[in-house]
Amino acid sequence: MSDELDPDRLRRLLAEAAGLPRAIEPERDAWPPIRERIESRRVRAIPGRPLPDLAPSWRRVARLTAAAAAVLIVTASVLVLRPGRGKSRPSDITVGPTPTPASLSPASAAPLSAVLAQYEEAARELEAAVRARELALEPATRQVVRRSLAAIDSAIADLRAALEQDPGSTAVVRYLAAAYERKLDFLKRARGIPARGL
Amino acid sequence: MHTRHRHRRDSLPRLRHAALIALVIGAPLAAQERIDHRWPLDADGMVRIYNFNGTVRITGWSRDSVVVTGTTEVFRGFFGGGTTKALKFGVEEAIKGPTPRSELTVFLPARARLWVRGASTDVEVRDVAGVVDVGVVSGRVRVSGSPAEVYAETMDGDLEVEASPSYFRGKTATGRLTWTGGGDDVTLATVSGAITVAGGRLLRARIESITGDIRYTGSLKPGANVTFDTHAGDVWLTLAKDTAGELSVDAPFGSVLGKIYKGQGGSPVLIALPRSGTVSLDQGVTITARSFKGRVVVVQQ
Repeated sequence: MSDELDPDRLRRLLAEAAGLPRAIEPERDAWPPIRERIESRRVRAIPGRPLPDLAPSWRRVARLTAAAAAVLIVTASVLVLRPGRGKSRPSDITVGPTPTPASLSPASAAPLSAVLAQYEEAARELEAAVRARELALEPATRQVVRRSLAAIDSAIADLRAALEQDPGSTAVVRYLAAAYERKLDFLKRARGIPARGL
Repeated sequence: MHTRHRHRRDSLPRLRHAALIALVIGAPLAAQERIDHRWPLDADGMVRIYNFNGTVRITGWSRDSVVVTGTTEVFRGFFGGGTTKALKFGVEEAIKGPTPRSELTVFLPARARLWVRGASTDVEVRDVAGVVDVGVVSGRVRVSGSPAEVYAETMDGDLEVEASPSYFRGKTATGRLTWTGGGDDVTLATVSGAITVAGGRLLRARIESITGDIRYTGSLKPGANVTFDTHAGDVWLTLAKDTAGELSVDAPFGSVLGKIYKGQGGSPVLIALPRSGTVSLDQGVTITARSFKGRVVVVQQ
């Protein structure tokens, strides 16, 4: 077993990741001098679009996403590291199954559920925001958003069911993490769709 | 007094007629305003364009100026201005209801950095060598030429790129994504749209979908690392015969088909692919092809 797949090391990494600050404030407010420079160079006022109504919960969503991503980095780094990767390969053709680190299954069960819970929470908040402005979208766009989310949710449901059947499958975990990443990415894009009349 | 009332009564129909005529004559004028603006811009200046319904056709040229022509149905909707380093122009959205159409034709310095946003907007970009960043909701996006970097997104429109930028990010939801070209750092993603990539050489690429099929035909640069990943679609890879490296395939609830050769000269060796596993050839590229429920088909030719 390679050092990276050591369950104790994984737990330590996860504990360290959990202990990281959820947000880091900048040392000073950089905006006033930037604005001053922009204002001094301005030639002509240009009518701009009103800024979207950013609810305070966005900061929380961003933090949740960042936290989930941080934990995912740790999880993914363990999942993708396989014995033999990076070492010199034989010149002859070899065919074999993808190695599955057996030590991951029991050890990663608890942290994995925590990671998934983080994803779910971030997705819920983003989804609520998308739903809140759904009526302002063009009907065709609304349908696209709904259909796309249904497709992603269906994939996630498939993968969760597969994970229940085979909790030790690193392949399923990898698919699941990718599906959640796509869901968050899609929700962020949907949140940014210009609404009618805005 | 009585006469004055009668006079007012007589003049009312005339006023109505006059108003009606003014509306009839004035309506087409208000419905279609001409756009014709010119600004100087540095060769590597920044251009931001907004059009929420209609078309935007952009062409890079060798002059240090920007020319915008076209028409808009938005009453006094066109806005624009800036400096020689950065320009911003476009058509305002309607305050209520769907935004009327606007057709913009734009010429700008070829090395300019371009940024376009729209909703129901078809965008076509040609011969721009700088950074191209286009985001629309339901329109079609088409980019051709030799842009340095491309960022392109559309929700349910199709995205077509004929270029080989070093950096390419392309996303759709239901729209098809078609790319003819190669690149060093590429991420393509759809939800249900099919992805077709052909013609170029890749170095680092991540191509993924939820239910869309992924088709790749081409060759890979030495040391390339590419991943094709779909949940319920099929992955079809047609690789150049001399592609050598490590191929990982995985289709736990689907199937794997294919034939590959040991490249780098010599007699080709035909081998069967495992349903889930790794095929190691000589040192070289790393290819990962995954489909949770669909088929993975790999052919070398």
